[in-house]
Amino acid sequence: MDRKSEGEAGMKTIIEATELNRWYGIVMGLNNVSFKIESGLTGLVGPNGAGKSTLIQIITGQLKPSSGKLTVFGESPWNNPALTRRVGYCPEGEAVPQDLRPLDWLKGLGLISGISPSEVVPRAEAMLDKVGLRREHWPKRMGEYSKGMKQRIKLAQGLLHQPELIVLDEPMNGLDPMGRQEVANMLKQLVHDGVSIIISSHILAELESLCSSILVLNWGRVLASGNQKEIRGDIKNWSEELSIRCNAPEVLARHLFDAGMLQGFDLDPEESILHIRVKNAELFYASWLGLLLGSGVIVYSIQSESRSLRNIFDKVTT
Amino acid sequence: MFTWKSQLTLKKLPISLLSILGLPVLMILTTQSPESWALSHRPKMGSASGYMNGISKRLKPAGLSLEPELRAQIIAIAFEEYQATEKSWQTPDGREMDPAIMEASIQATHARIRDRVKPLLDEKVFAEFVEFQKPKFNQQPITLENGLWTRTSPFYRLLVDLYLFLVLPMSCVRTCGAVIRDELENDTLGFLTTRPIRRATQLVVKFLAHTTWLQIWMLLQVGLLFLVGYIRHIPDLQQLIPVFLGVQVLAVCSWCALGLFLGMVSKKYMPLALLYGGLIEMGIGSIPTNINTLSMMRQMKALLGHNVELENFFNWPDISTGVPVLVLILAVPLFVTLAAFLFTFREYHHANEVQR
Repeated sequence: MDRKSEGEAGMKTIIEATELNRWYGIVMGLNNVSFKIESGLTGLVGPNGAGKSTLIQIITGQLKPSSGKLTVFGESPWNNPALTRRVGYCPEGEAVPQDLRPLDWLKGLGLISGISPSEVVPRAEAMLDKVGLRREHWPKRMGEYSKGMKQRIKLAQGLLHQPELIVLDEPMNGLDPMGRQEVANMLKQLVHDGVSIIISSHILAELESLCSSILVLNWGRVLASGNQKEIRGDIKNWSEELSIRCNAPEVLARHLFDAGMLQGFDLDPEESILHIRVKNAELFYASWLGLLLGSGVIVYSIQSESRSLRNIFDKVTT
Repeated sequence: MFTWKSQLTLKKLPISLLSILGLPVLMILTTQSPESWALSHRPKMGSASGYMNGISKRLKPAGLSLEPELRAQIIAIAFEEYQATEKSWQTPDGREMDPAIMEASIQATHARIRDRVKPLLDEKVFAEFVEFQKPKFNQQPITLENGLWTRTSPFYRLLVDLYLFLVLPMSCVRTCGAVIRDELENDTLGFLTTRPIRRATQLVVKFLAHTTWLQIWMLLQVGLLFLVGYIRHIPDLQQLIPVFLGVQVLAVCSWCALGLFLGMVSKKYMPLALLYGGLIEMGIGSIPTNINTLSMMRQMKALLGHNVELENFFNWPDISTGVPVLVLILAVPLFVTLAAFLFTFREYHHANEVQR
């Protein structure tokens, strides 16, 4: 069965962690973490220090677990070249060899990865084209590259040996909106081709639109996992949060408060925005049109914060 | 491959030139040509007044003495003859005269002094004078090669003591110690360790690339040093070059392997190398038992001792280590294996590297 048909056939577990712990001296990186990641595109979400990079480095065989077990495609990743052949990695940060040209670097990495000398140059060139690094930049040394260009070349080296799983640590950093869209499209295409992707990012809106499932990490623990619907379903009794831009936010706040709908509110007089937390979302949405009309204020826009991934992330990490 | 490519940049050219030209420039400044050495270090007969003082000392125990006028006459004779002889030693090209000719002229000088002094002295005093003169007939002039610091001293000292035993080991340890440490510091190690190749294999390949690079670089460096030697007319250079190059090739391999191992042990591999140098090379290496075989420098001295010029110059103690080549060769797989073992089983990551 080829990758594509495997992808179409359904999800399968590619990574499994059981009571995984990782310590740095007395500092805890991962704390008794157990989870499964299935094929497809999975987002790793969490603030700095949450344990995302530690987890990524264990998955890619750069770190060993202090205790517990993590397997990728059923194998331990540490010092396992057979497994590494199936995994691609794009690290966080801007670090690339400053004095090398991208094609030289990719050629070297390609040869190390077992690509034949005759195949390595066309493959490297194809990858540079694929990540959108324009040919006029190829003769430059990578030290002269912008942040966005470095991201693209890092992506290219991760894709070079055509892995089955690609682990991307903050790959969108430094890319302009068009570049982000290009990379997002490329990732979607890879997933369509049967490649699994794990992506960590602080740009949550992008993960929301990209990822089939999410793993939320904080303080070295997995706080929630699954698809976005499941995560929302897991967390009961969330209050609904809305931002309403109108001509008289104070009047509207008083009106809603008198109606017994509000758990709390914040005013932003400069922007004429009222941020509200409603007690009972179901009841509120049943009567909200009447309530707004009854207040007599002119409403310009209403935005639900609770429906975004950002809100889910904030909820589970605070 | 990465090593070679990243070394060949215009940005690094000034530093590279400075590092490779520094020592040859120092050598050419401190090693004089035979001509300039001869001008500043002419062979001398000695001092005429010192000659007179010697005669007075000889006469005193016998209860004899010389009148001041007579003393002045003898000093004048000695001075004239010494000067004439020293002048005869000056060759047109500034080169040193044949020692045998110089010895003959010394004997002739003293004979002339004796003949000129004889009519001035009474028999008893002249007999003492002849006794005083006897050892003078075997006097050696102060020549280019019989002083403590000879013309070739700076060349040999810089070539062996500074270059072979300091610059070369430090360059090797610095370069190969940084094989993984620089990748860690720059946070680029992840690109390599996530490739489908064993860590040990990666390390060995990187070691070979760095060592080959250093062999070429050091060959260039020592070539310049020997060029200075040729310009400065260092004797028997053609005999020294093959021995020295052989030792250098072995030394680069051994020091690189040591550097690789120390780099895997600690981020502070340079201080560690200095500690190793003090403890093993200077300390254990100078203990007169078989344990000194552990010193790689001692093995190198044993090999260099095959060159007569170096052996005579440094006067190294008799080093009979048996198989110095074997020891230097065996050091390479030993240190590389230890380094590969550490790299395979120990974690190396950027966060630790920049924190400590």
